[in-house]
Amino acid sequence: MAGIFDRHIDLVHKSLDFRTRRNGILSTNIANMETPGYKAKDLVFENALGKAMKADIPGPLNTTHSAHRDGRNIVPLDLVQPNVIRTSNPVGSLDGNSVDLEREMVKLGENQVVYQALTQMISHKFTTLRLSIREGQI
Amino acid sequence: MNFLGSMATSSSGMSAQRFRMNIISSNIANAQTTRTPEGGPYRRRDVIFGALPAPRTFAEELRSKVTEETPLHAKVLGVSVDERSPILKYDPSHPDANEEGYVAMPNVNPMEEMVNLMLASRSYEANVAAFNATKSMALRALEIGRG
Repeated sequence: MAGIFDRHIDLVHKSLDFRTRRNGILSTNIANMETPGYKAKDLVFENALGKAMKADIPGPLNTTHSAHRDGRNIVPLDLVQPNVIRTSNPVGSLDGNSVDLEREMVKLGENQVVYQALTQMISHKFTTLRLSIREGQI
Repeated sequence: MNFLGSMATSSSGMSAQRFRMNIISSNIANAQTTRTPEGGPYRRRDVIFGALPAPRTFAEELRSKVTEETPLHAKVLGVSVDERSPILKYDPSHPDANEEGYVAMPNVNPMEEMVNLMLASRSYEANVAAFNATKSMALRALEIGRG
């Protein structure tokens, strides 16, 4: 994105969306911690997201047209999607449920902290922009 | 999934656990009950939990398909009756005693019920914690761009 809003806003938006969806998955795991046969799930994203940030860097192949492929197989940021995975639990219970409550609570807390950090980051970004728009006057 | 969806999921877990607590309370309350409408002593009851996809509106149903990410709500599918045989207690003076002087007492083990009660209460708390996490995240999102 050009102009005063750079790619970081897109990135934070993607991450916030991911954290919201992950929170939903973790809430589902906790609600079903005693449902027989329920398998714990999780959402993974970060690796693909980190790669997508480098999608602009040209690849090893020379291109002369925008439709040419440059040999770097990277999904651009706006197309990156998180994946739902089933988390393994080596000490699962006998009824086939694989929710480990402690692990889910830790993930939930971690997710919440990162979400908070992201909102602060984006707020700070807006504050900085506003400061420059007002020529330094608060 | 949005925040309201997560909150609905947590609340489904809470109501399922509360229902279970009601059943456990009924088991404890009837630990000495020897007469029931069905006849015979009270039989211990237990809940059956199941994971069902969250209820959706017709429009939502049309637009989306069930994916791995579709929230599954914890629901009570039914109440099962424990088929373990009643505990026979020797008490010839009891009005429900049989010819040999034994009374069929309910198959409720107070220890087992207390453990289940604690489990239900902890699960409920876990859902409350998840709900609070969702709430604080939603409130944080409202703060974006302020100040």
